Amino acid sequence: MVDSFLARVLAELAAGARLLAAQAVLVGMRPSVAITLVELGLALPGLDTARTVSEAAARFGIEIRDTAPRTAARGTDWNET
Amino acid sequence: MSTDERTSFRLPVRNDADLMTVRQRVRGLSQEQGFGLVQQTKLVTAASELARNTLIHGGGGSVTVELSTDGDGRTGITLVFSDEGPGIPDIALALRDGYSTAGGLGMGLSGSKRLVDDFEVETTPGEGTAVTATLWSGPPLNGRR
Repeated sequence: MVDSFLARVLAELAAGARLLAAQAVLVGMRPSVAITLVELGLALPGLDTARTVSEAAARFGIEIRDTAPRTAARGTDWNET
Repeated sequence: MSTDERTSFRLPVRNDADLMTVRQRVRGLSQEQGFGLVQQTKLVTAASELARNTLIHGGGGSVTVELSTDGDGRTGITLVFSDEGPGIPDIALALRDGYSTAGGLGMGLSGSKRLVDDFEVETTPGEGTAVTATLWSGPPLNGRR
């Protein structure tokens, strides 16, 4: 679950990373969380997102080969704790 | 509309730990009632926003959680957050996207309203505020409305 409080924390973290000339990518958000955030009205501007760590790394020109299925990093809705 | 007494409970909203308890209990109840994952997340998120409002703006209070059913066999979860804080002088303004008196994003109250089916704010300046939010279980078309 991401409410506006946590969304703000995430946005501030990304902004902090930018100050250090680094780029932050948020990975692993569950579909239900993404849908809820949009309805809440929080589009998280300035926060880059990707579905998987490999996808995020690919943006920086780094290839990560998946050797085992890692559902936890894929933001699946089916292993909600 | 009938209320099931066994599943009506009241939780304090006095500190950050209480917010966690509210989220967990609301999540648990919506799971028990067969709400889809999107609906569970919407209700828990709305509960988190409203509980934080109760804590920050209302100076703490409590939430009452109730189950109800309608004629179509749907189940509703109603959350009533009440506090004895300063009240909201201008509800229309408080419900505007991006308006905040606490330096936040200003999306809590307006966003919560969009996340649930029924939403009502009752407030008396100087006496307190009660926010009522209800989410109904959708028709089980694909199980995740």
